[in-house]
This record gives sequence, C-alpha cells and structure tokens, in this order.
Amino acid sequence: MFQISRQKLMDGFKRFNSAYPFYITTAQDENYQFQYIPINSWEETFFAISPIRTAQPLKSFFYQPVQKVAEYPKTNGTEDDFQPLAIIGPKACDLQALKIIDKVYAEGEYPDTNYVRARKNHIIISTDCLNAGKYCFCTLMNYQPYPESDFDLNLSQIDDRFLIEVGSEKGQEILDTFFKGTRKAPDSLVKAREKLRKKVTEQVKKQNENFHYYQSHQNAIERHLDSEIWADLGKTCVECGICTQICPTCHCFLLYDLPREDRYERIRVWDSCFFAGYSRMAGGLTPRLKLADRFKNRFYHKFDSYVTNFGVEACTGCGRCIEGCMGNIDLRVVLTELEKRVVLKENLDLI
Amino acid sequence: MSKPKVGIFGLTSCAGDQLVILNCEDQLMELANAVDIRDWEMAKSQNDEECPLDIALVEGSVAQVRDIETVKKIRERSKILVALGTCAVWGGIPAMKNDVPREVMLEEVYGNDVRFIESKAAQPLSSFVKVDFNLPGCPIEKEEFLQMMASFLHGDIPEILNFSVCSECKMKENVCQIVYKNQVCCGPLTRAGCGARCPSHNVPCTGCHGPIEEVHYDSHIKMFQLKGIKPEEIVHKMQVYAAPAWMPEKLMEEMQHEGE
Repeated sequence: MFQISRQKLMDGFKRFNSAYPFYITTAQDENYQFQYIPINSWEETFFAISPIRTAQPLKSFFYQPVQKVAEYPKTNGTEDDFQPLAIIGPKACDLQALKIIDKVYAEGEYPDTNYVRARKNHIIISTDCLNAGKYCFCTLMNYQPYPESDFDLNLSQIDDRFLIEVGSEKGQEILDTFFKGTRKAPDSLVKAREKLRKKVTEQVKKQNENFHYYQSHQNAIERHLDSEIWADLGKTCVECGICTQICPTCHCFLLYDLPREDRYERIRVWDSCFFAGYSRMAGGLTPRLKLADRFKNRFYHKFDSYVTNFGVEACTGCGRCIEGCMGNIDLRVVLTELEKRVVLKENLDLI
Repeated sequence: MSKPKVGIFGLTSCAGDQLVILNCEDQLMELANAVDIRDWEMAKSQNDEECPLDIALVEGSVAQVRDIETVKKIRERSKILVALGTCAVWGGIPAMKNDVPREVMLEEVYGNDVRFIESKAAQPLSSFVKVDFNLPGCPIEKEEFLQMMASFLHGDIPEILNFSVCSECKMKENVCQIVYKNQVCCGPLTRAGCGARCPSHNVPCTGCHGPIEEVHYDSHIKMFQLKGIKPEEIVHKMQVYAAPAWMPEKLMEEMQHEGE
C-alpha cells in the first residue's frame, strides 16, 4: 500500500499518458461515462474519481459490440489496430463481472484470442465507490463497493492524499516506472480508507434493506421453471434487449458472415437472449417462442445454469439493468417475488 | 456463369431508394460489372421492358391504380422480387393518411377540375404480390443494400437484423431517450439497421424502418404508460411510416382493451 500526494499523482498520470491512451471516468448529464484521452494530452482537469460506476459496462473494452473475428479466404495476416489502454476509474462490480466473463472467454478449452489479448494488455486502475448509486445492490450479491482484487492499481482518495494499492505485477511495474514520490502508507491512512469503505457499504446495504434472500436463487428459479409467474413479472418487457447489452456479465453473441467483393468477413455482434431470433434454429424452430420464456431464460442463465457450470452467479449488483429498463422491471423484485412464492409453498406444505 | 439480370423499378415514391443505389459511388461500377442491369428507367436510356429478370428491386408503394398492373407484371417476369424501402415494405409516407378518402385529398391538393390521377389508398407490395425479401428504410441503408446484393450474388439468403433499434442504440452507448428524457421514441418498436442514427444525434427514433417482426403490443402499451407517454402519441408517430402495417391498429385495440 502506497501513499502519494495529489501533485505527484498528476505528474505520474502525465508521464503515464505519454505511453498509454486513457479512458477515464467523467460526469455526463446525470451519469458517468468513460472519456477518451489520446496519448500525450493529459490535463489535470480530466482527473476525477466518479462516485459510482459508469453508465456503460467495462466489458465493451474487452469484448466489442461489433467485431470482425475472421475472414476467408484468409488474407495475408492483416493485423488489426489493437491498442493497449489504461482504463481509469472502473468500480468493483465491473472488475468482478470481468472475472465472471473470464470463465467463458478466457478459461475454457477454447479461449477467445481477442478477449484474452485485451485482458492481458489493458491496464485497469480501479477506484473505490464514494457513495451508493440509486440502483446499486452489490451487497445483496455478496460483493463490496470497493475493489479487493483483479485490478492492476487501485486508487482511493482520503482528503487530499491518495492511497495506491497494487494488485498485479504489471501494476507494480507501472507504479515504479511512471509514478515518482510514492511512500509507504501509514496505518492511519489505511484505517481511514477502511472507515470510508464501511460507510459506503452501509449505504448500499441500507437502500436494499427491503430485500432479503433466504433461499438460494437457484432453488427459487428451479421451482418456477414451468410457472406462469414469468409472464406476470415480465409484463412490461418490450424485448429491447437493453438489460443484456448493459449487463457487465452478459456475454452472448451472434456470428454472421458478411459477403465482401472477394471474401467473406465473419462478424461477431452482441446478441441478447430476449430477441426472438436468439435461439431460432434451422428450419425456424424456436424453443423459446414466447417472450415470457425468454424473460425466464435470462434469470435461469444468470442464477441457475451459470452456478451449475461455473459455481458463481452471473450478477454483481451494478443495477444497470434496473436503471436502463423502460418497463421498470427490477431484478431484485423478480428474485424476491420468486422466493416469496417458494417460502409460501413450503409453509403450505408444512400445514 | 452469366450475370444475373436485374431490374430496378419505382412505383409511387420519391425515388430516394434508387438514389441511394446511385449514391453507392465507390461500389457502383463493381455492382454494374457483377450484374446485368436490364431495366432501370431512372438511370438508363435504353431499357428492355419485357425480358425475364433474376432480381427485381421495387421501390415505392402501390398508391395509384396503374401501380397494381405494374407490380404484377414485374412479379411475373422476375425470380426474386425485393421490396426496397419502407414505402414498398410497409406503405410508407403515402399511406400516412389512408383513413382520409382520396377524393377529399385530391380536391384539397389539386382543386375540383383535375382528374388525371387515379389515386387509391396506399398499400405495400405484399398486398398484391409475393415479396421474396424486404429491405426497409427511408431511405434504405447503403451498407444494407450492398450486403443484400452481395448475398444474392453469392447465392446466400441475406442476413436481416431481427431486433429493435434499442439494441444498436445501446451498442453506441447512447443515453436512452425514453428512460432519461421521457421522449416519444419509436426505438423499441422499430427494426434495427440504421445504427441508431437519430438517437445518436439526440433525436428520438421516428420509426422509419417500420416495425420489428414481433411486436408485444400489450407490453409496449404498459411500458409507455409507465413512462407517462400516451400510447396515442406513439401510434401517431409509428403511423407516419408504417400505417398499413396492422400494428398501430393493434396498438389501438390493445389500448381500448386496457381502458376497459
């Protein structure tokens, strides 16, 4: 754990920016977005630690919405313009979400080369949450509003001083190369950080105190697979797909071939399990014909099959799906409703 | 292998979709080399009006009596008939006021004496002939058109985007017009393909591509009501481009149902 003054930190970022283009969180309207800063254009005014997560998920840096993944006949090694980036300001929920996607794209038998390259080369400088966003519920999913791992460097602000925690070898290297004037942080500063963190954690907990999960979501969902309840819970869903596009853990894609004049390009584009064409097979057969079935599938995948396959729920409580839903569908409410019914059923059985 | 014979036709329309084809400046010569354009009144002086065609691209809606014969004749002589643009696919802007009798409209616009136009309520091509492929858009997207032609040339079925503008809008990381701004945005009802052009410029979607394949009327009504947007407003907006698509009527029905 290191300590650095604001001025030294700014000088460090200036040097760092001479080697890497930045994406840094910035306030925009009521939200926070990543702002692009090209190489050698750092100014102190760019620096701001956003109080909460950005509106868009971190995944788009690693897994782009539209990407050419192959072409045939093969041309002679045309390299794409991959550029390692420094991403400054993502929060714990996004880091955890990347870890969840890793299980599919980086860890299996066939890792995704583009994704793995981005994971290896992009540099993540995360920050603590400064308060609870209106829709945040990370604590409900057993995560914390501050990063504990999976970052290269983590930055926390205590008054006018900054604490830097190193999370990887790459992070240490960057700290040594670009940031001069770091000192070992005194215990009092670390304690002050703990206090701030606890405060934010309590905030998140407090705004979600109406939601309690006694059961595992897996159990609650499995007992409702053939239920009519999904049509009811998803009655304002309009199949726009927003909840999946802005979910930091959703990762489904569609591959299709674009004919060009002398070759084909294989394009990968974000898909959504809400779309009618998502599970359509040759001949037009669709196992999930009704929207309610697709609505159910999202929860089934996140809280049931993902747990079975990878041992973790595919949700980190960032609350983007609640914020972005036109139909005011709240993931927490859906899970609570499901559980309520399970508990009710069990109590009835007892009688 | 001989080049596929192509005909490009316009019914009642603004010719904007044919103009998009002419505007494919970088690819136009390649396209002209790859296919044999036999009949294109707008761009060629010598046209073969009788020969059989492999691909017919038809723009515009059927809004005059003579258009019916024209489109039927095109159908007879072609293997693949493509409805090009929102007018051909959904009826488009000419169908916006189909509920007003044509006599009233003629008199309003041309006065009492003029009787040279045999106008009728505008309909999409599919009301009269079998359409093999729909490429909506007002006008069509250049990129989508070229992809469609390339697919035909490769012997493929063209890929059609089967989701709403919302998805493309989110991929562009735009701020939602409905959630944050309570705007009457046709995005969730409208077929993608434009790359969410209007919302990317902070203008709510006008629905120029026409509705998606599967519209959830009841959900849409409930959703817009939640946002304090009157369903009439969204229906009104969708009717600008896709009035004959039964969707607005269905929405109205659903609204009445809701009101009961």
